[in-house]
Amino acid sequence: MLLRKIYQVGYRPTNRLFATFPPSYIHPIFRHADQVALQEANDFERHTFLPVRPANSSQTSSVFYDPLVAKFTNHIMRKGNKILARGLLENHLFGLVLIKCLGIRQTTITQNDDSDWIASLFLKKNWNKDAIQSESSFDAMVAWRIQRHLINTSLKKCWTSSKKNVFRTQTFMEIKRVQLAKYATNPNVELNPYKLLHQAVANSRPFLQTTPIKRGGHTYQVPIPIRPNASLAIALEWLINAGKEKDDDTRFWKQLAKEIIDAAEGVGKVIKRKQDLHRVCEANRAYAHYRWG
Amino acid sequence: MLQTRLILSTTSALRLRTLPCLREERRFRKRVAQPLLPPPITVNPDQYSAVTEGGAGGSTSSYFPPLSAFRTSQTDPAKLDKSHLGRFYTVDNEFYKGVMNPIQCYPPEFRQNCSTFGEVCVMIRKPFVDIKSCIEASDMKKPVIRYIIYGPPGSGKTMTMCCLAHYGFVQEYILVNVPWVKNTKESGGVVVSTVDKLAGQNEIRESDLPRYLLTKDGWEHFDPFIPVRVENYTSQEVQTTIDYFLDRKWLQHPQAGSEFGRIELEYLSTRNPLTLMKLCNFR
Repeated sequence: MLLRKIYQVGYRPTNRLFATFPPSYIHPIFRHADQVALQEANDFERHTFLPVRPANSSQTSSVFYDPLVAKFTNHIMRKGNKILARGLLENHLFGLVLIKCLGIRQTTITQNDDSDWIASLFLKKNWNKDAIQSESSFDAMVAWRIQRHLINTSLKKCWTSSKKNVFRTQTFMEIKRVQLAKYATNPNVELNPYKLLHQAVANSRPFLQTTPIKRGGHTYQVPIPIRPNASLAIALEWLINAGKEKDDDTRFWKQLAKEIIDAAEGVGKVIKRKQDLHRVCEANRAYAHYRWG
Repeated sequence: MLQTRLILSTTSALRLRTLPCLREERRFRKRVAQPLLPPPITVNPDQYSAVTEGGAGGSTSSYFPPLSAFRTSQTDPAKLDKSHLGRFYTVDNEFYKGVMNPIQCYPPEFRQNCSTFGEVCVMIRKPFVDIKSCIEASDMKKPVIRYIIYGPPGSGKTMTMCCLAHYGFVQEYILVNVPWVKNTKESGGVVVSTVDKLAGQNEIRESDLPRYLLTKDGWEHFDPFIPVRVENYTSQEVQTTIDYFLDRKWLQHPQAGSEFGRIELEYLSTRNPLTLMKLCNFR
């Protein structure tokens, strides 16, 4: 019954119908600051025994975690290549870092600095599985299981590619370089790439858009307000598309950095596009009542 | 597989011949544009001598080292010793732009950062001080002593080599940059070489030890030599690097200088200098 409803022509499925977890399941509280806030509000005890949905793979308790950056990464991602998407925006090394984290665990366990654990991981030689199991510590078992998992999934490719692309740099790094060059003459310039991204997205969010509605044989472009989530998605897409409009010899991350800085300052292609849209909406305000009936 | 980056030679005849040409180049290089950023903070050496005795001795380090303790005012590499370990010293533009930039000896990521920071700052680390004291103590009339620097990727082998090149430049050695040392039987010089797991090849190698990377033939060619291992950063060195990046306004995330941020950067980088630099690039 449900499936028939979903695949019906013209039927728009909502998140509610695809939800795996009932609404009684709360969203995970994974950030340290949020947990501290709960404790201070004396609400921690209540949340302790509530059923919780699993966290997304991108949600971490890192102090550097930023929801908007995670969202932007997902919008940049094409064909599920998150390694590339993260590389373009911030860090292309996370696969390597993950392996290295495990590597340091291994060396602390076996106390043998000369055994190159990362290499043995991929060459499938010299696995000292027995050494790990004899330690029988939780960390060692976790390390061994993740090691096995990494071999099965193709992280080898990630490691080699990150090694080759040493020169590939990132949007945030480029923003910092550009702004630091300005800083020499103007000490009031904003240097924080996270703040600049937030400001750029806030500046480029549209509040109105037009939709075609047919009345009396004519199709009118009727202005309608946009919901906050939709306007965020539009702003991110506009930024990405602006980054793609570049010369052939310019890198995407370099252009994207330029567009983010421009949008944060209230100038540039994205801001112009938003203003153009608002202008059309303003011109068609006479048709606004076609939205109803 | 093998990178032999420089031979430092002290033959007196050669020194006389090359010195005038160096002087000319020095005059030329003074016209190079001055850095854009404000000049680095110079600290009175007496202030941080107390810090060194307290901080470097203990294995556990506090995450909040004293301010300005990360930089030394000593710019002459010949005068650097154990008391300067774990601090940044400034390399003069003359050496950096005149000697090292044309042959691109410094790693590319480091050069990129130098142009952004408007200065060239290198951390003084144990392998450099060790090799320097060995060179000072050695007899130049005897056959050359060969040093082979090895260690995990990104741990600072090339930077150690560049520090030694700066030392050689200041001491008026002749710097020779060669891909492979053919004849190691000469006298009156020093041979410093690195072996790198990632050098020149795109395949993963099992070990970074000289015996594995040099293979039997290379080992016999170089033998006897002094192997010098470059380790990853210590905990204190990681914190010093973070302090330096904060000073240069390179770490912009408000949490980067906090206690949790520092712990996270240290753990994620596994104290590897190159990985730490890359992690700091976007924060």
